[in-house]
Amino acid sequence: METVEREERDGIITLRDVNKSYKMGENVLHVLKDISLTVKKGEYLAVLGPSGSGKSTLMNIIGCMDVMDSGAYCLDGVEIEKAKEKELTGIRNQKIGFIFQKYHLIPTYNVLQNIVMPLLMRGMTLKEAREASMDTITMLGLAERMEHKPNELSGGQQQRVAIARALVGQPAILLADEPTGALDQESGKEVLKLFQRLNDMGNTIVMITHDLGVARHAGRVVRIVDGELYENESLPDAAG
Amino acid sequence: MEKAVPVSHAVCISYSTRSSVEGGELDEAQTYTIAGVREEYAQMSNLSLAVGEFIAESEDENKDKVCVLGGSVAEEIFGSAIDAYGSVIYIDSRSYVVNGVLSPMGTVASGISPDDSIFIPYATGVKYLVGSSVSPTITVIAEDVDNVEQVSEDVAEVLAQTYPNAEFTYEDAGSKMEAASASNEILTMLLIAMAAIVFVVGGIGIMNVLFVSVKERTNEIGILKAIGCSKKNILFEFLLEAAAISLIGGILGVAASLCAAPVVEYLGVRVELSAAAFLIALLFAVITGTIFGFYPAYKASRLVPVEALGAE
Repeated sequence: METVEREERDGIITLRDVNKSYKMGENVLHVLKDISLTVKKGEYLAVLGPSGSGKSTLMNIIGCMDVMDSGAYCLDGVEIEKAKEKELTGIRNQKIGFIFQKYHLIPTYNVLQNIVMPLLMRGMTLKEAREASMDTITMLGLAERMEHKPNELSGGQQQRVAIARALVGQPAILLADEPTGALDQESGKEVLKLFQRLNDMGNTIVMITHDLGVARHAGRVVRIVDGELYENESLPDAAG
Repeated sequence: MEKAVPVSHAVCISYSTRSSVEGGELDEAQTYTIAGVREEYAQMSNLSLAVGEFIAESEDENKDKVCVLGGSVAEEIFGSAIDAYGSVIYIDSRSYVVNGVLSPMGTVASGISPDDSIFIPYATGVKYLVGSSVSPTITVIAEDVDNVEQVSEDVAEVLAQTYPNAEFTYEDAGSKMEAASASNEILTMLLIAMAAIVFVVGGIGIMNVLFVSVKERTNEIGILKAIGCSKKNILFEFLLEAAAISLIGGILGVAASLCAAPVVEYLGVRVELSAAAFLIALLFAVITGTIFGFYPAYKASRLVPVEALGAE
């Protein structure tokens, strides 16, 4: 009991008995079943699971983009289940950095405009946002690409732009959904190296993946199977 | 008549006919409106002379062949009022001395447009142009607008007694104004109906454009929501887009009206362009866009982030 309380106190993400189900006509699909998870500050966690296991739903709940049916979720000291829509918008902007499988960059904006968007939403001017994001842009090797549109970049470069956008607001956690899923092997390796570097710099990372090889790069791996979460100290040879 | 109808302020008799006119710079005979009038017509119709004198009572009594030209007629026949004054024109092949030229009026008095008419003494016209078949118009002005009905009745009574076998048609300015006012109201209603139709049709058009835009950009809305864009900002962005689309439409409409104005004017319809009307049109366009753009913008702002992100 004492261990659980301590874990919750230290955790930047604490989920307790989270349930989520979807109504599919007459049937109810129970996607998440009593999920409990604690992620400590500075941890690099991989959530491993096959398609349809509920890992994306879990990410959406952790990312405050979807609401749980029951349970408790505390993110960096904020009780998410009690937060209103307006607060959730602020949390998504300031505490979470999203990295998507398909990058999800705005095609009509250039690299710089895509990266500074979260800062502009905080009320910064373009000049202030540009100055605040220059370190991140340089670190990710995008300084020469700032005026380029997403369709002028390779997949790896687009993912680096998405990572820069996620990092620029210095969020409490980086939430990555299959970050290497749309990349070739080389670009995938680069992104995973970058994640390792970001984690070494103190960033908390939660990565969702179905690929065991990718999951092995994380410091800790949990498995999700049929909506149930298992700690995975010794991984089997294949996921799912 | 003045004596018989005591509350009348002024009375005059006139008629108009069409006749061929030659002289001056005219290469061939042209047909003009010839008005047979008496001295008092000028005062009653507020005519002012650019040069010369109006028809005198003595000229009417003597059936003198003199005339006064309307401003436009003098310009057409002689080039200017000064050149016309003292010259001779031929009405129905008889010579008439131009005794005066009217200042441009631009109005119609007693059914005659002064600018486009040639005025001759009443009796002269009866003798040389219209003969006994004349159908004159008697214009009576009441002393007070409240007496119009009384004056009309008195005039009808006097005429019926004096000319028991003749037929008269009566009109008063009030009824004309009422008719004009009624047609004006109908026109206003018609314009309001047209504006309402334009408002609804244009608005629905803008709404459709916005719905398509929201549909196409659902994924982008999802991205914006995922990185912390508020509902208010998304609503504002789409409202701004609707206002911009309708403003561009308004500007194009104003430009089209500027191009169409000369054509409409050429077709004989009076057109008056004004900066205020253009501003109102632009404002109306923006308001239309904003009102009809609100619903799609509201729908966009209410999208659930996770569902919007999943949209392709």
